[in-house]
Amino acid sequence: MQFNSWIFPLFFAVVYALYLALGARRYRLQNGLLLVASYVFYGYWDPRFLALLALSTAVDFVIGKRLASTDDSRRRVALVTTSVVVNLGVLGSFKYFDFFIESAAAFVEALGFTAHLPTLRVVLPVGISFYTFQTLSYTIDVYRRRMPATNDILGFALFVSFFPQLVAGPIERAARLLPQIEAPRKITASKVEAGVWLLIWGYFKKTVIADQAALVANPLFDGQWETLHGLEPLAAVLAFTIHIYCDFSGYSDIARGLAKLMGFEFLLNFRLPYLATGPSDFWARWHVSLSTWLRDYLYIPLGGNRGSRARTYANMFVVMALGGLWHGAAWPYILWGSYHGVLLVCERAVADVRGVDPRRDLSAVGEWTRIVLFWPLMLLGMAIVRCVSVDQFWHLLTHQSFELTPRASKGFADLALFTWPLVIVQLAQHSTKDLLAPLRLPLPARGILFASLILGMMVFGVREPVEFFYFQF
Amino acid sequence: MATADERLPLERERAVSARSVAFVLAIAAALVLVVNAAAIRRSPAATRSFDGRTVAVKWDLASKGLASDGIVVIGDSSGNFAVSTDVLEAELGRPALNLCTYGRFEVLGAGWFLDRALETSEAPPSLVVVVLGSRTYALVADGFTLAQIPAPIGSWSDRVPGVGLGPLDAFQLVCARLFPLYAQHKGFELGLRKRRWTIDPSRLPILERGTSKLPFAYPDGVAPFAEKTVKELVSLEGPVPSVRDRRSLAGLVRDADARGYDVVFADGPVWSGLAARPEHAEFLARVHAYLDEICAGSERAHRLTGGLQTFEPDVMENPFHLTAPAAVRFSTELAQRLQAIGVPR
Repeated sequence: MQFNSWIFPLFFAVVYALYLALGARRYRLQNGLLLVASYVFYGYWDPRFLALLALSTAVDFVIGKRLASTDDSRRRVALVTTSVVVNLGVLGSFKYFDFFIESAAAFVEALGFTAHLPTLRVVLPVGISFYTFQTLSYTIDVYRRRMPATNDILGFALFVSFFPQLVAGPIERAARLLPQIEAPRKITASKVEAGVWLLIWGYFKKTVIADQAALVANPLFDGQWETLHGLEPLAAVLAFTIHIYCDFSGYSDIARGLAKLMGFEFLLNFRLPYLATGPSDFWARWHVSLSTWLRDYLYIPLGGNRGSRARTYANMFVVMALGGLWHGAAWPYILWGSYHGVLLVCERAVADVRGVDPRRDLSAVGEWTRIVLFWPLMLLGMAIVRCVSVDQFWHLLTHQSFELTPRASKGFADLALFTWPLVIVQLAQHSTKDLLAPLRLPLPARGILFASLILGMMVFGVREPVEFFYFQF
Repeated sequence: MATADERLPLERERAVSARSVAFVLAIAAALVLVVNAAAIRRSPAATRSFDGRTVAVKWDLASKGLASDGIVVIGDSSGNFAVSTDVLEAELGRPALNLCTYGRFEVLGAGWFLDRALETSEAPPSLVVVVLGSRTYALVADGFTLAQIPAPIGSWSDRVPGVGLGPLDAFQLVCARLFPLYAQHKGFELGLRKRRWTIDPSRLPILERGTSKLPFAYPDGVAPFAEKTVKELVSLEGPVPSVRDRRSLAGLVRDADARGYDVVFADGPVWSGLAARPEHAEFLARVHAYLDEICAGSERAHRLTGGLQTFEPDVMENPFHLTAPAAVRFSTELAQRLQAIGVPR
């Protein structure tokens, strides 16, 4: 079930009404309701994949309990290894098996041999990357004794499957979400207002800005790329850049808004990434729940920055390349991750040589200068992830000029028509350092803002439910 | 100057009262409703788009009732452009009315126009001809689409064919009436972008008895549209015709038997290139098989045989739409085939 389908508002209205009717004192019953709703929500795509969700839940619940009951370090290592192997095994089988087999076959054939390797040809379960990482965080944290194991199977099952963030994040940490599940939630007026804002703004970003930007980007990338020239490559990449951000952050906003309405608090996933001053700042703002997950569960265990400079650089690069692979079982994603790894390493190396912190103090002028200078590097990364072949990427790179063709002009005009609300809101958020800055408006102005966004969605929202881009991850 | 972490924005929830939140939401809801009401009042679909005008004019014609010995034609846009009431009247000697609109209304919506005509008539017509192109059987109408038919709220569930709309359809039907900016967004988006709020009816005239005259052909668009159609036909899941179409078609037959008029199912005109496609032929064969099945159980229902009437792109705007001269040819042949099976009686 997609957030932008017509069935979802009806589904949520029913669930929310029952949730409120049960009341916070019966929060365990609320949890039961949310668990059933989450399985219905996920099973709406394909009920067969509910078994994977249940498997992941059962394995990690049992392993968590056993980790809590033993101090034998070898046994604890074996238990956490089992959890990692099972979870990553499922993820690998469904998401990466065919990719590695096909890549190996291509390599063998490039050497002049014939390869007949088997592939699984299975459908990728929606959101599997998200809930696998989420449930892994639980067993790893219990193993590290950062949190106690839970005895509440119902609560744990809800933690793994909670529908607002099940299929596209934010990737919640057990230490953050489980305590919220295992206690009564308080729904305050502030939370409701913030939740409603996030819902409206998230839907606006998805249905108006992202989907309209996709209408500009997709034809340029998919059908006509060999004819692109002048400013058209820039228009295409810019449109995709706007599309992917508004699509993904729109989903996160909707998820977080739904959570707030139910009294939960999810991780902030986006913190104005297109106002980043450099690579490290970008990853402190883009898909924060993933970048911090990779930091805590991959970068630090690899040694982080505790070793030599070379080791630190290698760790940074490996983590980013694997982060790219997490996004998709395809070379563009790995290249995109690797590209960002190189950017981070370069930034760090320059800082090490100059002896300055890359995230040091900046004046306003310095900050904006760096924001502007980082944009071309970011756009290049977006081109890498969107292009389906090296030929396409090379064509875009080599046919870029400053000629304003009619197609580029129309693309820019369409983008400007739908993107200006994003620019205004983000500048307000940036200047106040408050992502809820629009709620600082006087009461009537807030009402007018909400109404304007809803009316904008009614008229300009793209109708056919276009799947959220990040579902494929 | 600020450090990197200080530059990162946070979410700062401020203390607000429940009353102020309710006030904000009430303002927003009221504005949305008022703007929607004002938009449709100032710019009704009938003046803003040709689709809206066609639907409004046909509903108006249906609301004026039928001649008791007459012929009424219902169906999709293939019938809207292809069936000339002048030709039918000349060939069959009975008054004729063309209430065809658009395929996206499915058989269900086409039936609603007939139902409206029947409820405003003193006696049923002699003959109802249902003209549908293959593509219509592959379209799925949601509540928003059906809401474009100006039947009053509350009458939908009682209309013939009654097919029992689901809760989602019903919800969408109501939403469409409350929020025309959403339901008719394409017209409003175009209006806002081009700053053009009214159409010139003479560019797509609708004659007195409901025949729409397509004044131009668009040969280049025929083949691409046909490709799209083939994809739609082969991607349709479930039985052909769909469950809802089957119920609607059966409902039309039941109503004909109950009220005592003949109902004839006829294929709309089609581009010869599309007719030659095996996917199209197979799809239509399944439709015909079902029509034959329901007609076999009725004294009053017939399927018009004799093969598809095919045309070339130079007289078509898409694989189903005929220009006015070609419509005369289609209608003449249609009348002759009707006579051949002995209708109108």
